[in-house]
Amino acid sequence: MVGNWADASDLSQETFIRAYHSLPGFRRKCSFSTWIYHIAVNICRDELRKKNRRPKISLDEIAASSGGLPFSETGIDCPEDKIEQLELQGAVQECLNALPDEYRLVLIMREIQGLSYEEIASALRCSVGTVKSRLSRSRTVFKQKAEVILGTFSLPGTSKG
Amino acid sequence: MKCSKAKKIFSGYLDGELKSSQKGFLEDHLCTCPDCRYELARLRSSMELIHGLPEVAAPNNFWAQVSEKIAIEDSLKKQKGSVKWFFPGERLRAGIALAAVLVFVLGISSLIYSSTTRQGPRELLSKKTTPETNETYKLSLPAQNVPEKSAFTEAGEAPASKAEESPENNEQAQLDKSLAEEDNRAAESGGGSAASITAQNSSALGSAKAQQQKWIITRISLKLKADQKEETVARLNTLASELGSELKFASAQDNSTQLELTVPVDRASEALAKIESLGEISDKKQEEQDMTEEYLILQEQEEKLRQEKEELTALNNNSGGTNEGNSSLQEEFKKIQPELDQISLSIEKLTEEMNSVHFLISMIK
Repeated sequence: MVGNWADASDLSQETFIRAYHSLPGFRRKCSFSTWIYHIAVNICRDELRKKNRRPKISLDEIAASSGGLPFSETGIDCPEDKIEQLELQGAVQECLNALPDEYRLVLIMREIQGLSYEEIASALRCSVGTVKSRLSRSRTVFKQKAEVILGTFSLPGTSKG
Repeated sequence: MKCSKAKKIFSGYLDGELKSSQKGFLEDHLCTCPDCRYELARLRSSMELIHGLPEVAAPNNFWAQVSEKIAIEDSLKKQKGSVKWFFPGERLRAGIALAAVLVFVLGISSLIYSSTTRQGPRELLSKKTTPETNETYKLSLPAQNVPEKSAFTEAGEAPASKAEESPENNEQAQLDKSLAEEDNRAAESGGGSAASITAQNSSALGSAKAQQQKWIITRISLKLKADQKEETVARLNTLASELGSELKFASAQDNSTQLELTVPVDRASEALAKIESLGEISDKKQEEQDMTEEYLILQEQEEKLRQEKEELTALNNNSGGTNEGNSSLQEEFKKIQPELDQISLSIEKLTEEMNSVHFLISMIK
């Protein structure tokens, strides 16, 4: 969601710390995991707001922009297909990062975390209808970004006709 | 179904969240529209790209770090809490009194720093002066009236009228009183043992008087001409710390420096000799100042401040967390929070001030 491992790790810790402190406020209106997601979402939003105000470039991003791999993922000897796979993952991550924050949020919750519409709605404190429409738009935007960034990417079984 | 309408529900279709009627319509449309089939396939494939992202594992020490951070925050919160509930109720008044003391101390120290004429304390003293204290009064006059050797001259008879100012004198007054009582008892009983006790007490009284000393300092201001400036400055600083004195560099032009030195009177000539060995001295001004009253006041002040601080610290430690759960009380505390913050600030300043008072005392000594 925040695009790099170090921040993600920090924010996850922050999430559990905040959850610990606000445990007395947990009213069992939703499941515990949804409640945690809700806290995580708020923390991500705060962080992203901060980041947008003063953009920082991580070492991973520098490596990526100069055509390299994220430092954390550079192996000593990578087979070629492994490298290709890593490059593809980097590009997908780039597509995700290019999405507006709120679009990226629902997409990750749905496609990666596999949450239901109701769970997403509960975590974001919005209606199921909003989730539905936002998800639809974010999928469309992601597909467009993917087509631009991964221009050459071949999708299995998509020959026209 | 139109293509545009179909595309709007692709997302729900992928999620299996369409109503059966909608799903039926869409599937019918897809059968007849290759464009929409293609679009849907690409959409599905792009989502599969996301599924292909590796799951990122949390670092090994993730939970250890979380619990560590929580522990740290908890302890910080506790500290913060005790500051927040800084001495309630009447303790507030103690704080305000403390702020007043602070102002007083500030006044005193600026007096000592700035005055060369010392009108303030002199007047204060003269109001309390009785004929018997004339000798002491003379001793406190500047320079020429003070014998050269009398750095920490014994004052001889301590003035009884200064009892309010000096804790030692208070002690002495009490001692006198008890002595008188002893005398009475001795007279009543007429016993030899009682008389000997009185004699012992008398000698104790004598040593108490001997402790009453004059604290006199010399202020020297002069111009020093020296070739190697940095080396000279370093030497001067060493000299100042050796002599237990305060050194100020007022101004510096070329290789001559205006110096101001405050030094215990018995070491003044030593200091001057040492400075003279460093270079050429000109424009020398020398002035002696009796700091005894200031010293006593400061000493008393320091003692008071120390007690106040101890008390407040104890109160502060005790007040942490005792008022939790009482919401009306908490409301009240919130209202006086700015004042409390102000007092915390005052105490900080006071502590600083105390340190400078302490420095002054050690300097006068």
